[in-house]
Amino acid sequence: MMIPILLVFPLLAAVPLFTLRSRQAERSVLIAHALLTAGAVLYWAVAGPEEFIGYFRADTGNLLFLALIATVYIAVIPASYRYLEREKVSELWHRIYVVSMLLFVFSMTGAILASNLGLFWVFIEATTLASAPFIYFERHESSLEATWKYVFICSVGIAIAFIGILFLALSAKGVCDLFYTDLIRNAPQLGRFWLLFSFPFIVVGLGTKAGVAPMHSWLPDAHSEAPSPVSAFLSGMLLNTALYGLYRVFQVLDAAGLRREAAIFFLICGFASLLISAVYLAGATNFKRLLAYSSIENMGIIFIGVALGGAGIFAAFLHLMAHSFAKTTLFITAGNIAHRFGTKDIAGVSGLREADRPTGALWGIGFAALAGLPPFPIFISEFLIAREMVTQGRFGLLAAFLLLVTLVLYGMARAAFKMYLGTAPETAKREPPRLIEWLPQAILLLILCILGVAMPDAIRHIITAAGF
Amino acid sequence: MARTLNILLLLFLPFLMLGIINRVKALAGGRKGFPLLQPFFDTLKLLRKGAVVSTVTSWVFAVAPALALAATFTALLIAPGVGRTQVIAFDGDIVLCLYLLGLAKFFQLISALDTGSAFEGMGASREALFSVIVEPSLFIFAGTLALVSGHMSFGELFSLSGGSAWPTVAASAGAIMLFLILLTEGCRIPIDDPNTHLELTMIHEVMILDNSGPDLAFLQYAAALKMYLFATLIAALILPADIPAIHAAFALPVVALLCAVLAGLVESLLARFRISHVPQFLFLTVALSLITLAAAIYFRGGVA
Amino acid sequence: MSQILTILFGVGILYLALTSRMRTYIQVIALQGFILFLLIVRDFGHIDWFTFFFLAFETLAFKTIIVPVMLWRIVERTHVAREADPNIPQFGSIVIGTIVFLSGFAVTDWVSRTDPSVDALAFGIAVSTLIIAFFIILSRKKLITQVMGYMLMQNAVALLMIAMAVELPLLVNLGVLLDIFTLMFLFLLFLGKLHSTYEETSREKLTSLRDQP
Repeated sequence: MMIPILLVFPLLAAVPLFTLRSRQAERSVLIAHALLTAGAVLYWAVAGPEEFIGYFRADTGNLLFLALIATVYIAVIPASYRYLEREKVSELWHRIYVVSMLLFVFSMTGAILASNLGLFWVFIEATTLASAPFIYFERHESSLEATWKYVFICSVGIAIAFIGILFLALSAKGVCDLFYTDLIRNAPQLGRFWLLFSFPFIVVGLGTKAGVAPMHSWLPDAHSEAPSPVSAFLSGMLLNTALYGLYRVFQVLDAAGLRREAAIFFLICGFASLLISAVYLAGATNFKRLLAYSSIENMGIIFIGVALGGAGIFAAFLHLMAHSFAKTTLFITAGNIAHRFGTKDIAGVSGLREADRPTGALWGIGFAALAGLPPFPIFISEFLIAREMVTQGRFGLLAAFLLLVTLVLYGMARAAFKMYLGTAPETAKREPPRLIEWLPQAILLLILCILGVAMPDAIRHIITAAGF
Repeated sequence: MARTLNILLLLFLPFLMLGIINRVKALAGGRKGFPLLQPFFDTLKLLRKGAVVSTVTSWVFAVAPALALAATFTALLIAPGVGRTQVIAFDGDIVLCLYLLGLAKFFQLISALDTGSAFEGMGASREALFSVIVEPSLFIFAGTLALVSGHMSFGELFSLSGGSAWPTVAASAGAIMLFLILLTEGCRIPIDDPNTHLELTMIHEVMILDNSGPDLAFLQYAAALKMYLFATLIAALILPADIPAIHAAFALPVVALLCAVLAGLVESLLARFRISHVPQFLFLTVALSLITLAAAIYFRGGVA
Repeated sequence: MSQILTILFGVGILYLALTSRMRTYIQVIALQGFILFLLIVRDFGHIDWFTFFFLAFETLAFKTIIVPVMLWRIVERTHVAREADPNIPQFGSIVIGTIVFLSGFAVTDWVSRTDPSVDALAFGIAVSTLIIAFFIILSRKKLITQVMGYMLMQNAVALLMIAMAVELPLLVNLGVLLDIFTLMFLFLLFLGKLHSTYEETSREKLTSLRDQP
């Protein structure tokens, strides 16, 4: 019963907001939705899989993704509250923010819950539409530009994915419909020609949405222009949602005995992403864009992990989870920094250590978590990927991987130290930090640290199950 | 029987096509228009008049109209008529037909240059430019059909067969292409405007400014014949081969008159293109003929 | 008959490659929508009547009427009558368009050898239309033309569906329609905003966000 409730609630709850015209009510709806999502995830974790009208399904395969949505959502709500308060948004834009958030989360939940590839496509396109108002939210010229690029590039990409899905449907014609489970079960009977033909289209299409190079060009713009809590959501969850569908198609090819061919596309995208982020990170002048390039890099690592197979799959999903946590922390913190210093330029920020002690600490530790320093799980996932490369004897890949990851680390560390050390400029606001601004991120980092040191079996099980 | 009919149609149908185009335009413009056979009577009237010949012209100017008409008329005797019968037929007659059209055009061009008028030179240059684009598309198209059918004569050229989509592609792409060429060679809008009064915008009309009397009649008849030639090619392309003779005798005039109606509608709805845009438009014909060639290769699994 | 309709679909897109008028773009998009409607009515009679009705409605009401009207409203609001200076001159466009068609047929030839069940002609024209739509998106500077390119892409996808006789569940079809409708609405909204911000809606204006490596 949780699936219909979770899918209908945001749609129904959005309607009365237009008549109530109360910020209090809008915030309550948002909190209720987040708690409902978290409750649903717990329910599925305990009570087992659930299916709804055949098209939606919650099981161990997508529980990790659903849990990440719930976590990021809960972490983002206090930050949204502070953001809307600080920016003194008008009543209309407050409502637009809340309704868009409801629809955005609705479409992502729908995409993850959908058990049919065609339906997944519908929800993925809907995520673009629902998040467009966020990117335009600050209504500068640059946000308009970013919105246009985001909506247009993603829509074209998603249209390409649709062509791929049509080819996939052709390969499955007479065998089964586009349900993941059917496709994977009947994979050997699928038409191999069309299956292989469809994959590049799906990789390019969903890869656009997942933000991997060379289809990444919308990502830095959109992430830097959106309000910081939304950037956290975009980076921490939207990219994963696109990856989820892509991974399901990858599984179909794997089951059809086309693993080697499919892995090539993933490897190309993965290494291209690492290269692009390594090249552009060093030159980024805006710290939100810096984080965006880091998202490209991490999606690249996840693609490489999936392509390697074996232990790489577990590593990829561990990485995906850890990246969501770390990136959510960093984007929300970046929003606090941008507010305190009044700029998104790296050059304009220094002395975080003294200006705002908790934010500074979060920024430093968050970067450590993202950079893969122990005890954080990204260390484990990157280590596992490197070890898998050694096991498979791919030393060329290993060398390229380590070199590029190190370059990215250098670019990020340089900017992080520059912002953390030094003395704060006179223009920085001196107001004391508030609990609501740093506590959620601190909890996220704490959980991440615990997961890195001693992962509970239940969570290890969920991550492993996402790969099957 | 069919041959006699072919020749009879040659005498009237071209004029009737002009009349119909004019009538369609008139009706679309809310006018009544002149009688359908008025172009025919105009030509008869011109034949009875004398000619004024400029003193600066040479023998070229004198023989060109007659030569142009003779060449065009012969070309039409080769072209497929009623039921795809030809008056003159031999293997390779396509080449002769197309080159006769080229010959007629050549004499018209040099006769226009012969007058020494700047306007006529300009018209001749434009006409030459357009022919340069249109002619390759005709040759590619005819060549494709010849390769596919294995014949070099108009009579058998159009027997499209084999391959799933090939006959339809060839017929529809070819018909569209031939219609565009009909508009170009017939000097119709959107390439040329036969009713214009400004020499600067003329193409065909400006080339015959200095001709008068029977010469003018010859040239106008030749122009009408050329338009009719493309209508017969369209008819041969889209009409099935195995219809009874009596039906075929009606089918050809019907197709030709439909082409005239369509041309009239195009003239009523479109404005003339800027001269600089015309070559782009004409390149569409080359594109279509190349696509027909590609369809021949891919849909028939080879051209042999 | 359906072959002739398909060829008309292709000639329309070829004509687009050489035109620069927004009006023509919209007319061709509407014509393609109508051709799709006819093809659906002709070839899809055997599927269940509800899906059939939906597809016919989608192509006739949405693709033939609503989308062109919306596009026309954008054109009127932004006062863009024609694509002034494309990156690649028009003459080059039609040469490229022809080459695309030739290669589209080559791809079709390869595909139809492997899987004879596909309608080769419609498949070839759909693939060519897709590539030309991409070409329009990449080579034209006006944002409105890029939106037209996107709609051409959607038409090509619909033709592809017909060529391959692939049927998606009704729920999916409905969702797709809703998405694309909302997307058109967003395009309309943001093009209006862009127009009032920049006076001219050209890609060249959107260059403030970029990084140096």
